[in-house]
Amino acid sequence: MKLVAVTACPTGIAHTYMAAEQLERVAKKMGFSIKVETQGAMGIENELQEDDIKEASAVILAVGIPVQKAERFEGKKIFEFSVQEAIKNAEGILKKVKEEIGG
Amino acid sequence: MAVEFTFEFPLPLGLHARPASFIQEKCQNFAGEIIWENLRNGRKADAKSVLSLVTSDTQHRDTCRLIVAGNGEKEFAAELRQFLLQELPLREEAALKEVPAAGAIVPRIVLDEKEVYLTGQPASSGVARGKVFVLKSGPDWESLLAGERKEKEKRSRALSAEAEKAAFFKAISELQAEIKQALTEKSGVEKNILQAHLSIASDRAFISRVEELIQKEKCAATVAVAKAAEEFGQLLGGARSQYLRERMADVGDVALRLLEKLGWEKVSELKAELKEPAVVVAEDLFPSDFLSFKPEHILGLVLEKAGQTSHTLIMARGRGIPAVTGVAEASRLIRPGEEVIVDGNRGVVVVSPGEAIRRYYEAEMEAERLLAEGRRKKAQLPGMTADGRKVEIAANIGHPEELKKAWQDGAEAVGVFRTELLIYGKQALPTEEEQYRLYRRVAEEAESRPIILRTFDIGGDKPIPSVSLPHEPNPFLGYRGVRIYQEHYELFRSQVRAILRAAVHGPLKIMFPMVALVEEVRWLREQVRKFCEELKAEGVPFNSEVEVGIMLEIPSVALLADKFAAEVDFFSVGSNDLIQYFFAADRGNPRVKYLNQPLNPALLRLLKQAIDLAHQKGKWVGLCGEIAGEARLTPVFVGLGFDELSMSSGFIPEVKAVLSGLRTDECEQLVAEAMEAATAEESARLLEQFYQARFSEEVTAPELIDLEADCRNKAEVIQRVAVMLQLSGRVSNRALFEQALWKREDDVATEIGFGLAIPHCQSPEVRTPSIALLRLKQPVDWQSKEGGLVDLVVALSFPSGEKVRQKLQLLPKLSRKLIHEEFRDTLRQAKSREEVVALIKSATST
Repeated sequence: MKLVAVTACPTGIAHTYMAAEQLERVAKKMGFSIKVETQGAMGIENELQEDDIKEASAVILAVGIPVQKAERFEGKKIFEFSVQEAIKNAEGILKKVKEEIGG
Repeated sequence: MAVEFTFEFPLPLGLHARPASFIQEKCQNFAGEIIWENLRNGRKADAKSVLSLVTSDTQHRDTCRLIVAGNGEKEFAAELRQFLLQELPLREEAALKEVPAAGAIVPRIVLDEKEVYLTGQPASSGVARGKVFVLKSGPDWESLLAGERKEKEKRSRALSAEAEKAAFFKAISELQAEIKQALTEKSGVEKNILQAHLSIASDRAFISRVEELIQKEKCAATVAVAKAAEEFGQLLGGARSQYLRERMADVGDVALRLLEKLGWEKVSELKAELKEPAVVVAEDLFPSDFLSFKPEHILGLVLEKAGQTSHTLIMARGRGIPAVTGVAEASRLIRPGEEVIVDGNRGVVVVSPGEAIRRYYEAEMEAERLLAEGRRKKAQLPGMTADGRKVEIAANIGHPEELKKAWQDGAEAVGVFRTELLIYGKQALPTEEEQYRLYRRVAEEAESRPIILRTFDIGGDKPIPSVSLPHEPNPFLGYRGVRIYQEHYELFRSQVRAILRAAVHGPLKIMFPMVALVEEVRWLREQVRKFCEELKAEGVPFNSEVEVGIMLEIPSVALLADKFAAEVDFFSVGSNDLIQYFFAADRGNPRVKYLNQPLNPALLRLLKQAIDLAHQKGKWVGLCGEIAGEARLTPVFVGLGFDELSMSSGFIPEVKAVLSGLRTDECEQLVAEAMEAATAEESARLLEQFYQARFSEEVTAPELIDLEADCRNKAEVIQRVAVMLQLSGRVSNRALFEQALWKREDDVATEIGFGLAIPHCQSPEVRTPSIALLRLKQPVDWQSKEGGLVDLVVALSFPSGEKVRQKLQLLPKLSRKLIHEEFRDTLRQAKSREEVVALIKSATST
């Protein structure tokens, strides 16, 4: 199963990247493929391309602020969580996503 | 028949005056009687009297019975019950969110612990703790009563209770009418105070207590009022709420006005004596009062009205006495003998601090001690670059009282003593003799350090009552400085003569302000020669060798500096005026503030040319404007060739520290490049590069690591981070920095699980990107939604603005690493601070 995600928090200097790392780490452990875009103080990094989004079964937003370029995800199945949740319970998030999309 | 109900009192702080006034307000709507009975202590109160309600001593969770009797009692009892259990707690909560005075920063722990505190403006840095000594406090009932007893014996007449009561009721109805009248005329804060006064002047418990004292204890009306006021004051005082203290003061005010109406002659307030170390609380403190106390007896100052530039506060700063000013009603609200903490860094006064606050402030005081030690070390550095070029570091002063602090801060001279500050607001000008004595004292206290006295710089913008000057549309470009000396010759003559005479006792120098033309200097020197001859003829001792210099604040002097150099011994650049004349922009006008550009290449070229011309003629050039104290600009001033930098003495240690790390040739290179820039922004960028190339600081260091932090709560952790960063010179103002960290915590607590918290902020207080790490001896609650405990803290601090973008890149790396258990384990197990530094560096390296 392929997933894409965006992480973003108000200051954009810590949580954004921690959440990204956690999602990547846990996804790998659970056998998913995931690409995580970070929207932090450094701007947008590891930006999701049209193809990435097209191929993904779902979009995970782990954010504490409005997502930039949200229009890219129109028509996709979107799961939104807080950044804290993504750091503390990435496994729970991924399990839930898996159940809901029946992957 | 009466209706009654019981309920448990819901407010955590008990039934104090504020909720009591809410209850009274509610009960006023009911025509009948309402009795409040506290079943814990059996006390009964009238629910229509604030004072009576307070005397019921109702605490949190006391069971109380309310008895409501009168028309519609059943409906009102139900309504009241609903009010007490639901509306009252909400109103109390809203009232507790008080807004601090502008400029004050209330530490989080003071808010969390629900301490009583007052706020004002920080006026002298540092922290003090001690018992309060109130100078000129409110009425001292005890001595008033003693006076009255004597009076009574003298009169030795039998009192008629009826006559006394009648007098009292006449006085109180007059007072009520007066207050009601005033209420229609006032608004805002004054109206609120009047409202409070009226509620006390109409308070049933107060009135009936006075009546009772007259009737049963045969008191005179005056004594009864004073006694009742004292009793209620006692009840309200010592309270742990500012609101309650205000009501206590109101009771005092109302009683005093009643006493005046009853024909009591106002008892003059006693001049108190300070016999042991204490925190002095006063409305204002005259310098003479301040000086009448033993220095070691003043631990701290809490003032209501003293201006930041008042001599009392200048002296307090000079002696390192923490002070807060602008504390509204401090002398009414704080009681003598209470313990307070004066936080002169934040503008906060904590009254009767609890254990947690004491601990917090112990740590603050320790930090202050270490900071002072660090400052002392820097202050002792010589004013010299790394390659041995001497740059004299001097202080700007406005009053002789500032000398002591200047020397402590490491001043090697006084670059400018602004003598006009001595005569502002004075009706009469000082005589030559008075000035001589003052300058002589300065010369003697200088202990052979040079002191430059700038002669009176008076003009239309700063009028002096004793010197009549025309009102001008543009005073900065008008009749001021030396331009008025021909007309006001005696003012000029007496000052210069006084300086020449005082210079016998120490190395004083004369500097003239607002010189634009060579002719002006020639005239001035001619007069100085004349004064010397006069003194010689009079047989008065004087120093004929006194050096004479001029301010370089008008561009014409800069361009013709070689010609001026032939006439003077030195120059001192007044950057504030020079910049405003050079860019034709009023420095007080916010619309043209952007033109205040110390780094503009045009200004740099002007200064470089002036300094070079002066140096060619063997004359030295100093800088005494505000920018001299900006340590960040020191490389530019060294590169321009300044021989002396004079500033507010507080900046001296930092400027000396920066100076000692600079090399002259590198600074000259920097200035040469900046003079070729087109804009101030470009030269600022060159300065930035200069710093990055030479002082690229590491993001962490052993002094930012604490492997055994003894913090009991989150507030202490945040404080510890702030203290470590300030002690290492990475944060300029730790109070503001703490606030920035808390702001982030308020969005969402930064506890991320795994016992780890990552407090962080981007703040202008941070000088260089910094990472601090704390291992806590005992885990603390991070006050997050999930309530997780934290034992490992990694604090990330960044300066604001674009310039740190590059350094920001290391954060994603570190943040990602922290997600991995292995990395956290190595941090938790590291044996030394150096090991942790190495771990963080490897985690952030590219």
